[in-house]
Amino acid sequence: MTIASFDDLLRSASQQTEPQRLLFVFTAAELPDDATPEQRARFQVGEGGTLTPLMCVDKSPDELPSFEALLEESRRAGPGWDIVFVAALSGSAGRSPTSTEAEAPLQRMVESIKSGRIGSFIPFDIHGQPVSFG
Amino acid sequence: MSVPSTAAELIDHILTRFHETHRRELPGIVALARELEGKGATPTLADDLDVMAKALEMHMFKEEMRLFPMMEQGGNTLIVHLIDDMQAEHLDHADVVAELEHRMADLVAPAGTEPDVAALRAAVAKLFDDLAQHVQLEETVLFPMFEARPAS
Repeated sequence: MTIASFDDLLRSASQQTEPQRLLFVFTAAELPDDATPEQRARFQVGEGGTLTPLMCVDKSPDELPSFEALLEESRRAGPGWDIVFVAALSGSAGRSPTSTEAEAPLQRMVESIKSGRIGSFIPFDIHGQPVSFG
Repeated sequence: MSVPSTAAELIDHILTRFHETHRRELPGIVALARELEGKGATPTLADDLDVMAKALEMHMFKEEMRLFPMMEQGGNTLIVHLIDDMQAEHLDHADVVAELEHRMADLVAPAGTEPDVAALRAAVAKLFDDLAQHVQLEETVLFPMFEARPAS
């Protein structure tokens, strides 16, 4: 199934054979201290910069009816963000992973994002649209 | 040293004074304990110190990526559950520290390793002292700012 929106992702997660737990890492675009004038100019128009993890959360698809629900909860729970990275943790034998079991994968996910290894995750903007990084 | 008074200032202080310090010092402590094991020092401590380091890293991760962002937004109905979790982990850490202190007291330095054993004792003592200050600041100053907050 093609993931063309956040709600596609929710549908896809609900249709998997094994129960899923969704992992979210919220990030903010920041300009590095040593940015060049060109990088600063691009950043001013909403391009470039680095993505810094701000907070994370894990949810079962059942707990999240829509992107709007995630956006609303994130606004109540933490700082403003630019991109949210999503990954799915699969359960086994019909059992969904617990929040405790999600901690270590979330920790690895944050470390990956910090080091720029984001290929395994699906990024969405604040409108719930998938983002591609050129 | 004056202690910051707002939640945001406290969190910033905890991150720089404690989290960064623990992360900087723990790898060297584990490496030194491992080196001493190789020279015959007993009881062996490196694996247990490494387990403690990993548990502490996970604890700090939860604070940094779940609890602290919520606190910086002023808290909400979920925060008391997160605080309960962190307090339970503090109790677990206290048990681990007590056990490691006991075993450190039994540490025997093989001939020629006395300076390294003394260095390990000093580094672990400082780590545990920092941990005690870290936990006390959270338990007695930071967490109470949110525990009595009405649901929003």
